[in-house]
Amino acid sequence: MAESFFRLRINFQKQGVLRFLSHLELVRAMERTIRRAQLPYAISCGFNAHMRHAPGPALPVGTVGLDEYFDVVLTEFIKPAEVLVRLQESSARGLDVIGVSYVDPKAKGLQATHTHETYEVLLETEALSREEVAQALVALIKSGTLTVKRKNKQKTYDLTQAVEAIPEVRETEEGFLSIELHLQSSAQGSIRPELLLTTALTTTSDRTSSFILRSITRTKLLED
Amino acid sequence: MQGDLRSIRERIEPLLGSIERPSRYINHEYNSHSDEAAVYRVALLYPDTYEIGQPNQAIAILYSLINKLEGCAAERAYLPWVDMIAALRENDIPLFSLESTAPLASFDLLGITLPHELACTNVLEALDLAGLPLRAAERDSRHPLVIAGGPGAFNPEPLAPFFDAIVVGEGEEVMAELIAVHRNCLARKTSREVLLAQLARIEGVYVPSLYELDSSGRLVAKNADVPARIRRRIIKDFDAYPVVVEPVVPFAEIAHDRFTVEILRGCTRGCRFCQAGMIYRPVRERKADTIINAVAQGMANTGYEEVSLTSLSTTDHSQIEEILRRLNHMFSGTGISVSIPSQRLDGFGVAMAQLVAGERKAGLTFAPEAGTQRLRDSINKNVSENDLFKAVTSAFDAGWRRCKLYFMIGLPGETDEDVRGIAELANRAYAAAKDAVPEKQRGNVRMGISVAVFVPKAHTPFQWAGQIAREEIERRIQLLRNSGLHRGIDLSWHDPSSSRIEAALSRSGREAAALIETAWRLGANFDAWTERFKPELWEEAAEKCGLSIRGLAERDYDLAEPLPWDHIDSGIDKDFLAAELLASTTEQTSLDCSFDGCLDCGVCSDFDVSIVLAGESRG
Repeated sequence: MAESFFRLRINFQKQGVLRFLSHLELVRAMERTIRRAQLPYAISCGFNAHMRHAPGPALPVGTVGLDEYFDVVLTEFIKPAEVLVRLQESSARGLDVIGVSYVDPKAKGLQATHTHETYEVLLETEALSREEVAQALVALIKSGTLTVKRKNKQKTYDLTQAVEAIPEVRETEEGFLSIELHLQSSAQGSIRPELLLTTALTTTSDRTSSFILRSITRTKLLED
Repeated sequence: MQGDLRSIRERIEPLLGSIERPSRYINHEYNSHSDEAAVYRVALLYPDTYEIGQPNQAIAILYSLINKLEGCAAERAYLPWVDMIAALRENDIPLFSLESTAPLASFDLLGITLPHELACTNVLEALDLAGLPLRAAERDSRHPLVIAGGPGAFNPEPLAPFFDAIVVGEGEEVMAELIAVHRNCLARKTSREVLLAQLARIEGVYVPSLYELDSSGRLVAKNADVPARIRRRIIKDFDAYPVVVEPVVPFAEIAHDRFTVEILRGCTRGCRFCQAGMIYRPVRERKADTIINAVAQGMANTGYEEVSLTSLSTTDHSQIEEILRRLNHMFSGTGISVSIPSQRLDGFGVAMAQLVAGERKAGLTFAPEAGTQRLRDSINKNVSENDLFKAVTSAFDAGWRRCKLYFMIGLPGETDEDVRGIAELANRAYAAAKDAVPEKQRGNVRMGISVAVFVPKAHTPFQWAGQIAREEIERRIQLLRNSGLHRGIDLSWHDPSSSRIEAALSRSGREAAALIETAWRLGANFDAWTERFKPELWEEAAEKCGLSIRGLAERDYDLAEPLPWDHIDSGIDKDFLAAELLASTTEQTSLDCSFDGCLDCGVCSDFDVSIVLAGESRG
């Protein structure tokens, strides 16, 4: 009898100090959560048997994620409501499972489909006004490309592709500036919000040390 | 207090974005817990980084045990890596516990484990980073009681002035006794002096400030109220002590990242160089059922992908085959693997390794220790060349393609023939490995030998012997290099300069405390990390203290002269150790008392304990 497989999609949040977990650490933590929840996970038949799973697009270390995903293949169907409770009981504080669903086992992987990312960046600045920040971002995006050098590698982002909408900048009650970015990842990866902001604010202002990025949060991860 | 805690947490978070591997400092791991409202609070510190310290079993046991005591809470602390140390110092933030981010100085008790000699500068680094005076004499009841335990307690003198008390032996029972005395004293607001006097009356607790050297160079109690010798604590019924089945599950990648069950304690094979084989006697096994139940619970509580059955010689457990078969059955189809830390040097060891390896045959490690039968007899490593060849042949026949052999140079009585013998033995083992493999696959055979310089240890038959001289180490290394080792065999060395510092510290008295403090003040820390270890700092420190590393490391003790650790009663009679030393000079072997009759080492008779086997017999 052919074994049947069920692809479970776990929707979770990575917050608080757990934003400092690396992608690899996150993957291992999710595996261990799934084992503690005693879900009937499928095993690869390779030389080194391991859990069949696929994480969503990586979050940079230090970035909060409020709408993250992780797929795991199960060998038995268990009602989503029960799976949710079991996962929640088995999770570390700060890695919080908020929903589960089953998806087509043959569908493309999360990293191929979930390419639209929404970020919220909290900026602390006394030197720059809301308008100046908004203008700086627009100016950078209109310039078309952004090239970064990392060690010996050079990478160029096409900003007309990578940035999907004009960033919204608003003032928060705490007196910070909140910037909403809509980014699209491509085969080359996605541009980091931090890079976009620091480049925009340092190229258009000589007051380079006059801002602090208080927090970066990926608030939404959407399918094509 | 609560306000202080919040401010420390808030000051640490901004640092985490720019230091390496921040997940080491964030707590929140599954199964970590702490009652911040507990009346009595303990910080357990491992004097190295989180990756090295988190797997430590002693801390895991005490963490679990103390957190179950009424009104008590235990938290973990590690020495941050150098980038974080610099960040903490720059921002004037004291060393903190993980669970509540509380300064270590705010705890009632600070317990530090002493895993090996090279951790000693890290102990001082941690105390200083915590804002505590280094020496016990400079601390009082405003400071936490600072205690130590672990293998380092068996020659405590080099670190003695830095601790208020040092626990000798197994901590499972004595920890609660010590805490009860301390809580009582805190409630009565007694002075530190009175507290220390009371602690010294607990069996297994050494209070260094209550002992002094007499005119003959012997360390003696200052008054009649404290015991002349400190008796090691031993758990009589090891099986009755619960396995920690809810250990902290780290996020960061650490050494030995798996669930662990200690399946037996002690080893009575009697290798004459081995301290662990002496100070953890007698052999006490946990029952197969206890072990299987613990594994089932532990894996459910942790979600680990691997379980390791640990001990000094796991395949010696009298029920090991049954245990491994039952675990294999339990984990069939789950992708979970079972591992055993080392392989016994015979066909049975390989058969057991095969039982847990499945398709995953990464590499096997064997420890013949010496190159000739004569020297192996002398050190009482009771394996023959035939045992090694049988083990190698069956391993490569079973599908392994990689094997590593451990050796030591500089063992007492070693001759040039013994050094050359290492290369000859390795060559023959390499040939045996190739012979056991189909011709087409012979190119895949990998063999390596790893060689360390012998470090004499307290409470062993070789405790009287100095390390061989530095020039002699160099000469023997060259001799081995020129002994015709097959080019296909990889030769690696455990850094001889660090073995030398280990030897200088392993058998020194209290005079080494100044050496350690001076070396630390000159910048020594993380000495066990090859990239951080600077032997020249130790030479410089020794000179400043009027000592020499050579003098300390190479010193021979006379059988009749007092040893700096004579006041520590490990249970092994000094006469037994001396007899074993004598037997080594005539290459007389001693058998394993777990199945060949009592050798009267003294532990069982003096401490009212006995060898406990779970099954019928061993061997």
